[in-house]
Amino acid sequence: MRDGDMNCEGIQLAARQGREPTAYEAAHLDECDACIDVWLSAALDKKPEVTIREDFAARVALLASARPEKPAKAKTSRHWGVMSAVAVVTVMLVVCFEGPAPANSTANSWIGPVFLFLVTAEIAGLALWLGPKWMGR
Amino acid sequence: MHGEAQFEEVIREHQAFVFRTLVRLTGSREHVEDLAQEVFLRLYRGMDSFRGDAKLTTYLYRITLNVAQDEWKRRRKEQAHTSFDDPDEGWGERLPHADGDAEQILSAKEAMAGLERALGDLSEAERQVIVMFHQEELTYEKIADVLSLPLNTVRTHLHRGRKKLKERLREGRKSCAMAI
Repeated sequence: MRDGDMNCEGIQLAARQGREPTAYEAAHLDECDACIDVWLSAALDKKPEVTIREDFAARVALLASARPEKPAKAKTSRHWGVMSAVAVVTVMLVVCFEGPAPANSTANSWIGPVFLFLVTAEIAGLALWLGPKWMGR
Repeated sequence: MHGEAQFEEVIREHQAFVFRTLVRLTGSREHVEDLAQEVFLRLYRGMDSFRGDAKLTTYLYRITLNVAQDEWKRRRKEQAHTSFDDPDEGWGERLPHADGDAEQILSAKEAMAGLERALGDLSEAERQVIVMFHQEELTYEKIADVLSLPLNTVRTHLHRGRKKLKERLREGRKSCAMAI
């Protein structure tokens, strides 16, 4: 493609080869989407030059190993949390399925059991979710 | 437990990537060695929990991005307090050594400085995705893994980031031309 005297292919090739645009070519980049796209990719692909001191790795490795390890968090025993969750779930399940029906309940009422089941499921879910955290795993 | 020599080897293997990424994400070489040191110290503290090399590199990428992000925020705060400082200071030193005549070198400097400034105007996620995709040549999948983002979000950040870069570069050139 040609834009006046400007050769897009030439500019794109120059960008891929790592040559920076001249002021004239840079002005063309403002107008030509294909060229700026290629130039942008080439510029972004270019890795910035960095200077790393020869002893950097050795120094940091020494520093890391010399640093005292952070003391491990003391694992507090919080088994009571899991235990109580398990106990509540058990009680709820027993009440739900084995307990006597309330006096005013109708035989085919499903609202009570469903509600109880939902509460039980939520507590069981919490126990499963928080249990391992409490146990320190 | 990992030994000192083993860890030194890990540092040697990845230090170039860490330095490059920090330079590009923070926009300056200032303090880059301190930042790289912080990256590797954080890596050391978390190394025991990693077995496979793939996970280690992913973890290293994450740490590097976090350290760069912290530094970026710190600088932004500093810059807000010292408005008399030249905001472009430090960008020029990152330019590649161009061969050619003075005009060519100046043009190269302007172009790269413009790009670096434009990179600085992107959102954190866009900048991270662009640097990882272009400079470090990571795949969409790997970037998504490192940044814990959905694949499509990575694509979107890359697309939007590139679009913004082009717009910023054009705006920058136009304002330069008007100033002249």
